[in-house]
Amino acid sequence: MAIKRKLKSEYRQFRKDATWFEFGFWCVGWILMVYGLINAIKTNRDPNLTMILEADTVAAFMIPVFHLLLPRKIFLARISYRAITWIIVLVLGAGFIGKFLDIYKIVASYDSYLHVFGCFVLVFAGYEVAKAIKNGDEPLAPVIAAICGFGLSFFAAVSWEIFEFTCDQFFNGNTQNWAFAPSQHFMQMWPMDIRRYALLDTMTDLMCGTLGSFVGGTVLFIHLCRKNRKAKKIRANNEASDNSKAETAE
Amino acid sequence: MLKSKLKSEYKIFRDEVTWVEYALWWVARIMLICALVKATKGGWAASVLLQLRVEVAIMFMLPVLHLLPRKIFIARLSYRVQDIVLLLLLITAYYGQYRGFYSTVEWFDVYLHVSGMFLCVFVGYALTMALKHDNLPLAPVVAAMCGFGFSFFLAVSWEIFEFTCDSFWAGSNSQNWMCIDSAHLIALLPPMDPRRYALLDTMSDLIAGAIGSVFGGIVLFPYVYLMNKRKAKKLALAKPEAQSTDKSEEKSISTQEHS
Repeated sequence: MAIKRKLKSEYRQFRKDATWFEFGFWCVGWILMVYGLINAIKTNRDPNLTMILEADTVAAFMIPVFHLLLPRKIFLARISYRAITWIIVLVLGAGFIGKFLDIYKIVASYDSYLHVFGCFVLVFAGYEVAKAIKNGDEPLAPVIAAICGFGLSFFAAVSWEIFEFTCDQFFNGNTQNWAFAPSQHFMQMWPMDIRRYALLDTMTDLMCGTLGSFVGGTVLFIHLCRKNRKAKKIRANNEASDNSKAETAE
Repeated sequence: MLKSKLKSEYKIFRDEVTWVEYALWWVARIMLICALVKATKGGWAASVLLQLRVEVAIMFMLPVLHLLPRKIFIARLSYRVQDIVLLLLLITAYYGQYRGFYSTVEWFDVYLHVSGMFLCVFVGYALTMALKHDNLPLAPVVAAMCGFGFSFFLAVSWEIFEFTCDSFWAGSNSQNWMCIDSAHLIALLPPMDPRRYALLDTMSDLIAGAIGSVFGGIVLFPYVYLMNKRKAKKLALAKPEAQSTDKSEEKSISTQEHS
């Protein structure tokens, strides 16, 4: 009975937060990630790639699992279903397109574009997390919401670099691309000491992430201001029509 | 108009800051100015002198920014932020650079990043309150998230600034990519490719900063909760007093009318 009630209330919440179009997109994302993972295992691809695809696939399913298994008093169960869209976009961009389809090697600067776009998306994901942690019906003021999203996106960017550094330290990896040697063309434009090469990828990732976060924070702020203005107009119209109805009734 | 601006700023300053804090500001300023004068007389390196000059200028920046109109958010920043700015400048500029603690005290840079990011959480909270256009209190959990997030922004911005300085000034080693005095840190970690050494200082700064930010966020939560409680109590005390003065005024008016 309790499970039935939980499923009903989660379905209601899902219908409030997301559209069927978004649900369709999630299903496509889940199928692609599972396909990529199974294919990587069957074709004996690089174990690092398989590990990344496993982690990304788990991340793609995380929020629905939190919603179903956890009570709503834990903030993870209160994260909006909308956030699944953002997570699937990130996971597809990095894991499936970047690593599985090897676009990182084919498109130069794909990593930089991904960091800009990724941190832009993370502002919106951060906003959803902030709303869930806040646990109240009162909406966040646009500037506060933008600051929360902006800040949590930087937290995610730094955490990602720390995670990559730890992986490289303990698994002899090259996730931070420290073995990168810049091209002759780059060295002519930006001559630098050879010992600084290891920093290039990490610092460009942080700079691109900063740009993405700024743009994301600005867009989120404008979006919420417009949303609040629309809601105020609707409320004012409803009040006006209620008042006129009351007057005609009298 | 300037007179009324100065008067209103003085009122806000008296509300936010004690005379003890104000005296400590001047102690810190005098210490750093003396350090700059001695370093100039001692013929120190031009880059270090430039840094010290910029740091002395920063010490006086906030009070000057308060003279801007209050519709610009920086003018709404709490005077309390000056405490944090001066503390950070003393630790980095005076003790770190002038007294040479960066080279003589082991792990000084790490302690600095942990404590610096801890304090930056409070700066982030003050910035958030300044960006809001109203004086309404912020929910403690939202305040903690804003401060926490802002402090990560400041940590990343600092690393980008250091990277830019090292990129444009030959011989600059702000990010310690030369790994000077890093033998202990390298010895702590499992053996690694020497090409990764340049990342060590930056990554240890980010990790230390992350630890400081987490602690700062945890401490900011009860701090804001208690501040909000105190403000609510003050308002509650002020309301009955206002109501009782209104009632006594009404009484005196009615007795006058009767007589």
